[in-house]
Amino acid sequence: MKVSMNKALSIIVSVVMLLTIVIGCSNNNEAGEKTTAPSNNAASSAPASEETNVYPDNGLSAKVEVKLKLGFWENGYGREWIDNAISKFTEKYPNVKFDVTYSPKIMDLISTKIAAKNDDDMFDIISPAFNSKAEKVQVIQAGLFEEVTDLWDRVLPDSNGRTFRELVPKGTFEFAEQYNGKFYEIPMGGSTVGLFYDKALFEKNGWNENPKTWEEFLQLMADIKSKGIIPITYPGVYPSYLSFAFGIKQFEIAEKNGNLEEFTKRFRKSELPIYTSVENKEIWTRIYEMGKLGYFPPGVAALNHTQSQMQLLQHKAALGATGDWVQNEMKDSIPDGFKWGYMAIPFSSTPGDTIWIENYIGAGGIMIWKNKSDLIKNWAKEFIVFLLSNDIQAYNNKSAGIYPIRKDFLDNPDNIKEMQDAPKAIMEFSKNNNIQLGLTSKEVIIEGPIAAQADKLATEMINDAASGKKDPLPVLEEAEKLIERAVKETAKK
Amino acid sequence: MASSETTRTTHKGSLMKKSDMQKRLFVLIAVWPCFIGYLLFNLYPNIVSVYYSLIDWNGISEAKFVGLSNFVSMFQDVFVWRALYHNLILILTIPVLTVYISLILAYLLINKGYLEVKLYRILFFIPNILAVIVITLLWSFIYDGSYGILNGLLKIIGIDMKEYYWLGDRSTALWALLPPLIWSGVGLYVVIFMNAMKSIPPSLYEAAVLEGASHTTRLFKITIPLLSPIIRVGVLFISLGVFKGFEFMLILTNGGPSGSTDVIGLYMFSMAFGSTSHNYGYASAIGMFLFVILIAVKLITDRIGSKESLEY
Amino acid sequence: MKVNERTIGDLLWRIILLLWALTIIVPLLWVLYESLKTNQEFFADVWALPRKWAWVNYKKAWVSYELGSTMLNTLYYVGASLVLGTFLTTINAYALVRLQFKGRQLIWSMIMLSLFLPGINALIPQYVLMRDLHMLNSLTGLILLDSLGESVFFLMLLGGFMQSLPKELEESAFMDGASLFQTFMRIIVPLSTPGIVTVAIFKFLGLYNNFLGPFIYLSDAKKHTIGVKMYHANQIMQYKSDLVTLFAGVTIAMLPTLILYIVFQKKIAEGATLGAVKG
Repeated sequence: MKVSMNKALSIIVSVVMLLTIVIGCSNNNEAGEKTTAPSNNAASSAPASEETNVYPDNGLSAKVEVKLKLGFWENGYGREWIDNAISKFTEKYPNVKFDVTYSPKIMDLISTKIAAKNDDDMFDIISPAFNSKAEKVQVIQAGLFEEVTDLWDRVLPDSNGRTFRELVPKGTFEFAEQYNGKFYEIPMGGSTVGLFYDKALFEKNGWNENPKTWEEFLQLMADIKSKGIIPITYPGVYPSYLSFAFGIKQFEIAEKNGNLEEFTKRFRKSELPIYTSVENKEIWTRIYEMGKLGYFPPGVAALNHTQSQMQLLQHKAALGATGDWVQNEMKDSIPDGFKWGYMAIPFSSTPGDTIWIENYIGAGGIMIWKNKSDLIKNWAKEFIVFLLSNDIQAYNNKSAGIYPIRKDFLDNPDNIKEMQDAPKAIMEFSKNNNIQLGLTSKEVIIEGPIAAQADKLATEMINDAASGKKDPLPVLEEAEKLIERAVKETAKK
Repeated sequence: MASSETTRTTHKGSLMKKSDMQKRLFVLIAVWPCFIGYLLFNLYPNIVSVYYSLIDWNGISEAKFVGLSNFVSMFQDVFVWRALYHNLILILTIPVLTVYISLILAYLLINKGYLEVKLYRILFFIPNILAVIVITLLWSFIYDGSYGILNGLLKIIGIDMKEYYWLGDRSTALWALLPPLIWSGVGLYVVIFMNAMKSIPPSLYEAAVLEGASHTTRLFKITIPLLSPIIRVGVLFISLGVFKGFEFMLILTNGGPSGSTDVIGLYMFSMAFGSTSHNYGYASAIGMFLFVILIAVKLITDRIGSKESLEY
Repeated sequence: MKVNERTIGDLLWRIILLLWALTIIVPLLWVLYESLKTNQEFFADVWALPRKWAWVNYKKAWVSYELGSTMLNTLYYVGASLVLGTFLTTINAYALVRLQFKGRQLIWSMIMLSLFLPGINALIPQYVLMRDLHMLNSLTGLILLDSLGESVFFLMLLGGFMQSLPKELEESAFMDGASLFQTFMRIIVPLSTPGIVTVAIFKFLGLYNNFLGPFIYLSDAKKHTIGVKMYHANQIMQYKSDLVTLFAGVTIAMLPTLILYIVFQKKIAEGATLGAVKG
């Protein structure tokens, strides 16, 4: 006993010693950093400047140095566009500095920092990138991000006195991502998903580039297949890519069945049934049907991005389920003569019926962490507004292929000349069809390990159904049972 | 041995008294920084994780204490058992194959005087230097249905697999992961076993050679028994790695097709950081379960090892 | 013993060795020539050789992955962790293997516990701890995290090596009046060089390729090390199809390791042991 007491004592003493050393070291280090870069807090408590030193356009002081910590999601659009926006912004407002952390996995940093619950350590502004839709809903419900609804009513400097809301195409405001009528990011561009293909390949084979009905679409699939080419490819290692082509179709089915309103509410609020809803079952029945006919790649479950892209570029596959970023993301590897085309799948049998297109309105948006000083938040909002100016919109469209959000930009034919092929193809498709933009976002998420199991079950089924190996309906029933259980468990707590 | 024991006892008294204080100081410097670092940076977070396993927490909301509820759902979770079944298959194959392949390669490199052996001694370790990115990218193209080397080679010997994706089919995916996992682990053990083999006195082989024992007999009857303590440690490390590792699965198959390559480490990871909401509590409960399993693995390898063990 | 019997068996063994060697040489060559293709060539045929050697990929990789400043960070992080960590591991292994002191058994068994810690579940608590210790976003903090701590593998490796040294060496040093520290520095360290070098190389491999720690704990990209950069370069391929630059980057990143390994491979061949350390 005596021995172990000694031991325990010496452990404690040493822990304390070590802690002192460690903290000592890191404090030194921190002090060293402070001299080079004043922290945000220091900046915000700096004495207010004279009245004359404010920017006339926004009333913010030009003297107070501000540094915005941005957690940037480096994705298919690249990072050039944000670098450009930042350099233009800091040119105009030299007292504002940015500290950008770029990462294709920024969501991991963001969620770690959220879990660690420390406002100083958190980024000031972030790309709205999360590991799951569920996580985004949770952070917003928890009130961690600043509401920015008021920015819709801001008069933009280059808009002849019109507000942003007046400047966007019809339906944009209604369909932009919102939670109970509140906005936490302002759309800076749209990103449209669906099926992308090489126009040259279609022209050569005389394939139908704009099937108007489900039957015509199936005929197209058969035509492609008869040439020994895989009709649709996607990276099956990440099976949810298939939903870029099919996810929004639930709304199309609901509309056709005359219960769009009820379905939309049920979908957004995650009301049961989720997996076995008429709409969802219909989609999976059709995918399974296509799977049995061999319209997706053999062994699709093993395809990573590179392999799937390769099939598309080598014309081993005709269409790819992806988004309009595809052109930018593959700009280095596209062979000569390849020209991007776009189509969305029609689910109706009547030509001229609405074709739904999923559009993540809000591409490149920015979210602001709530527990930050007003100074930071105000400048962050200025930056968001700045991203909406036509100069920036033009640059983003040209260099990154981000679909412009402003009507007055799109209406000017000179602007569209510079547009990349993929977004242009989407514009064309929208013109030639009766389309409806939509978003598969949710406002309520059923969470917890059991809900996660239901999700896993349904996700694992995707490749099986698309390979025609397994009837998806029994799996959906099983997943539904799990989600029912998850709802009950949540209610109990 | 006996003589050194006596020397030590005779000098012990004076030596130890003089250096008692000094020894304490030495131990303080030598042992405690690392040990406290370990307690602080490794053990303490894991102890916090024990607490996590008792809460319901998505990293955003306030944590809710739920008692053993995470464990109850875990034991009812078919995905946990399926993942463990896959781990079981891997642990019955990978350690044995890795060790045997390493032993044979090491034996050849040490005991055969081929010209090329010198180069191989350097070369065989190199898979340990290659980044996982490169290894996984390479293997995904080896197994690719349209471009893959494997199907190409099989075609040469008359087996036409058509567009078969080895990692895309439930019946082959898990087995197809064995070669990259073993291949990337062999190099280290070749080096370790070669080194151990060098220290076996040649006299031990001489009798066997006189009796006309073949290389195979020598390897299995003399070398392997003599190396058994090292082999046992090797098997332990590889086995623990099999249960903890999931990097290859994450990149090559992401657990698919339809969960056929999902392993417990990957499942824990996806529960904490995956594409559904974070379930830190649940992931920690799986972590606790894994801790128990790892200890069981250690006890089992001890048991199996000690039967074959031979001191030298 | 090394009689070169030229039998069929030998032929077979040589073929097996050659095949194994090929599984290593071919990937290396593959990476090398992929890094010299254009992306269009890569996507047209993954196995074909480049038509013209595109050395520009290396320049692009160097610039776009910011390898210059990254290498400096890496040098500081890996260098300091290596010096501090290897010293601590060596002295630690010596004390644990060759000295008798109170609590040794307890410490050793607690260290053994680390083998069974599952890992990823402790990430969030570790992050919170690092933040509370003000060690976030600091390479020095990361160095402390990676240098202090225990690794059963390294202790066994080095401990196994030290156990093979005769006890008499230390005892005669003691009798000559050397202190423990002097004995350690003058007798144990020189004799254990192969073991120490081996541990250092393995540590180097781990630190150099480590991405999770530097990624999570260093939010300032200017402090990123080569491991994070390559992790990002790989992850970004989800959104980009610039694989040849990735291959060039990977090749550059591999070079220091390869050179170090080849320089020190003789020492590793002597030093790599796994002693069964008895508690």
